[in-house]
Amino acid sequence: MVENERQSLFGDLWREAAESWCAMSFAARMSFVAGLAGFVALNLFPALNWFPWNVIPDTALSALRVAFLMVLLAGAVANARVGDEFYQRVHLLACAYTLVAGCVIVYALSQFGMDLGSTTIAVFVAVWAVAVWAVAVVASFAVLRR
Amino acid sequence: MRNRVKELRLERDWTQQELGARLGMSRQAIIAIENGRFDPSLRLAIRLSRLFKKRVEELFLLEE
Repeated sequence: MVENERQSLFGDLWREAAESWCAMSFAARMSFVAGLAGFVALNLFPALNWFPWNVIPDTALSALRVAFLMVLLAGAVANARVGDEFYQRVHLLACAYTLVAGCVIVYALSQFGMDLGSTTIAVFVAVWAVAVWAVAVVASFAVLRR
Repeated sequence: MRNRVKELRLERDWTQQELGARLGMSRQAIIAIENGRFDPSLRLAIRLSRLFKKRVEELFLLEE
């Protein structure tokens, strides 16, 4: 008779993430992978000068970055939608935490005189938001499974 | 809200994974419901009650 099958937090999280990945449609998986690869490449590679990026007009590069971010987010939303109602609650809580933490981060950046309009800061804010969201998912998961 | 999900699951000798599979839910959802951390939707509550052949109010007990 199994009383409690709970494993470690990250063990459970990893297993459930893998199951939700398998439950996604092929198109949703491709959207997530292509969006992530494109977004990382277009933000990281120009800084490393691995390619003569200056041949691409700034506006086109910006449009491509935004497009890849949208493709990535479409994949992330598709992943959230394959979850059951427990996982939808996890994502809802994570969004709430992210909203609050994001407000504090953006306010702090503005107080320290950082220009949110500049590319560098915009990228940092986006990366921060993704990082905070990832932490928030782990926190929400930990709170709801306690 | 208290519930008898764990008690009824153990009576049937089902694992949390097995109960989750019967309901099309994750094991984490079952853990959270059993621990009272997550109140299921009405739809899921009815499915649970049908699975255990109990009335919803026999499965979920509202504490005043």
